[in-house]
Amino acid sequence: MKGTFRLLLAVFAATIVGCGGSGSGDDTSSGPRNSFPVKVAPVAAAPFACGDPGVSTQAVMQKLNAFWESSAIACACQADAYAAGCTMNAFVTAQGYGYIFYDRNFLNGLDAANRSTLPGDFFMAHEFGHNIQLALGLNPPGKFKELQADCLGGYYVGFQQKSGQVSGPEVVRTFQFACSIGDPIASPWWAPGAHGTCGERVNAVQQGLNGYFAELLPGQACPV
Amino acid sequence: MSGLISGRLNQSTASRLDWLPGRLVMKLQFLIFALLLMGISTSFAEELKEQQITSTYTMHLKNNSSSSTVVKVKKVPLGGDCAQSAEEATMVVGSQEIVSLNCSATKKESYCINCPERKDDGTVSSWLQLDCATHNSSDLNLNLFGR
Repeated sequence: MKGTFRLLLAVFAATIVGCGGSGSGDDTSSGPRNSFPVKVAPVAAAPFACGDPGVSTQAVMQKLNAFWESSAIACACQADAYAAGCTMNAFVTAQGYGYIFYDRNFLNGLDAANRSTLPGDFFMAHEFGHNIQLALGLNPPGKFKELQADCLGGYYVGFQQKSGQVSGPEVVRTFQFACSIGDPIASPWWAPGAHGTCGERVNAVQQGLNGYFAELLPGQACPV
Repeated sequence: MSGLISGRLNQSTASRLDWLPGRLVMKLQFLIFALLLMGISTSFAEELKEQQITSTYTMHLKNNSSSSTVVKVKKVPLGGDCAQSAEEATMVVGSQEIVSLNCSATKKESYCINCPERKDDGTVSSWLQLDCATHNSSDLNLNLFGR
């Protein structure tokens, strides 16, 4: 099992290292990169009705797609996706690879409560992380899948902060949000719906953010 | 008498001479020149008209949401950074209201739009960048308010 993880980590790192980003040059260049060629893109029709995203969500998807050199599509959940568990949630499925389904009302409430779109944007970045896992064939067990997605979301937040597009207080609110969606402390890590406790989720986001600041590649910052 | 006859003859001769090849060619040349001039001026006018049509792109944004909202708009070069400082306009767009945004086709421009009312510090984190050429004359139904 451990050997498999290491192999996947090697594949993840090699994929991202080997492709060469278009943001700020090759691997030997100094300074942080602005993009990574993960190439997430839908390969089939959306498995659920795809509601038009608002300007705010379209804008963050444009940024996420530029950052991950992808063309993923955000879909506001409609009745069929709500029936599949979209309420107060967002999700990605293997059948819906390249799409992110999200609860518009939940994100609107999050924006209003935080007076910032960054926590909601992180929420979408976390789901984008699941698409990256699907794109690269990464499948960590239980909550480690969620924590890696948190880490990749944090990596994107790090890019936002380092490029001066978000303020420090907004980043703090994003950490608070990550904590608020943590599991109860007693949750077993192998439980199918486990996402990690408050502390684990905050640490994962921090790890991704620090990784970007340390100019690590995503596969190095957020290993399996 | 002869003079008169001669005069008549001369007049007749002169009127016939009007249709002699030399003068006819001259008149035809003038006609062709005039027609050419008309043709050139017409095609030039059409070209000018065409240039006027394609040199400006227009995007129509419709606020498809049920609420009116404040929208910030700024024009940047195509592929440019929306976060960079540029002159920005702020407007209130009512529910179902349509706004038109014009930009130059030759300058390769894009519009950055954002609905910023949810930020405490007045900054905006995410601009939606719309390429003028791609969205020229298209009606974009955007939910300007919210997610």
